[in-house]
Amino acid sequence: MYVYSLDRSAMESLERGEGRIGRLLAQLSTH
Amino acid sequence: MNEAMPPLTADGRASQAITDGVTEHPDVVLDGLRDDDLPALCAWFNNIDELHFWTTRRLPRPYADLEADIRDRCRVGLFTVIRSLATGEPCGFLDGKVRELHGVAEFEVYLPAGSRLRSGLVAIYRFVSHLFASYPLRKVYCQTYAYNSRVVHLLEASGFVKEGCFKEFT
Repeated sequence: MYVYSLDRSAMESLERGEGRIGRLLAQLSTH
Repeated sequence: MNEAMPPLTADGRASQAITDGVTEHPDVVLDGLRDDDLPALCAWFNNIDELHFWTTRRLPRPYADLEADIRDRCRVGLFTVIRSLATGEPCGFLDGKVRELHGVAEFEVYLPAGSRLRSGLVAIYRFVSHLFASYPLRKVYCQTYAYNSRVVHLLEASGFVKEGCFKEFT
């Protein structure tokens, strides 16, 4: 069993569309 | 349906917020559980060979047991269905618990074989975004079996960092 985590600052970075993952998620979420 | 059971709904506050427009996507929407989702969810669990993460007994389990499990999870946690917008059918679920005192939440995600990874990625992102927006959390945790390569892939694609592993968990 693996345990993964995401902290608030990482989430905020994703929500701003930062980084490769942030850009990908922003793209997927607005299609 | 057992009349003694309470109505089958996800947590009212959470399910309303989750489905309040912010989670819509061309493919999937995060939604509360409906009674007619139960046969599909129970079938998913009874079609896998492994000892599943939310049971302590070998599958297959009787339908009534699985239904009771799901109802319990709706009562105590944020049980959320990933639903196809095209068909209205469930295509996965997320099950979260918030520990506000500790500033953390934890969740599990289930995506049946054949479900679209892109939909799973968006669902995880929206669910976690909702958790952070709705509760004073520092961190969100997700546990998954090491063999569940689909979920491992999705978590890493969503920006999650592996913190460790439980040995001999089952």
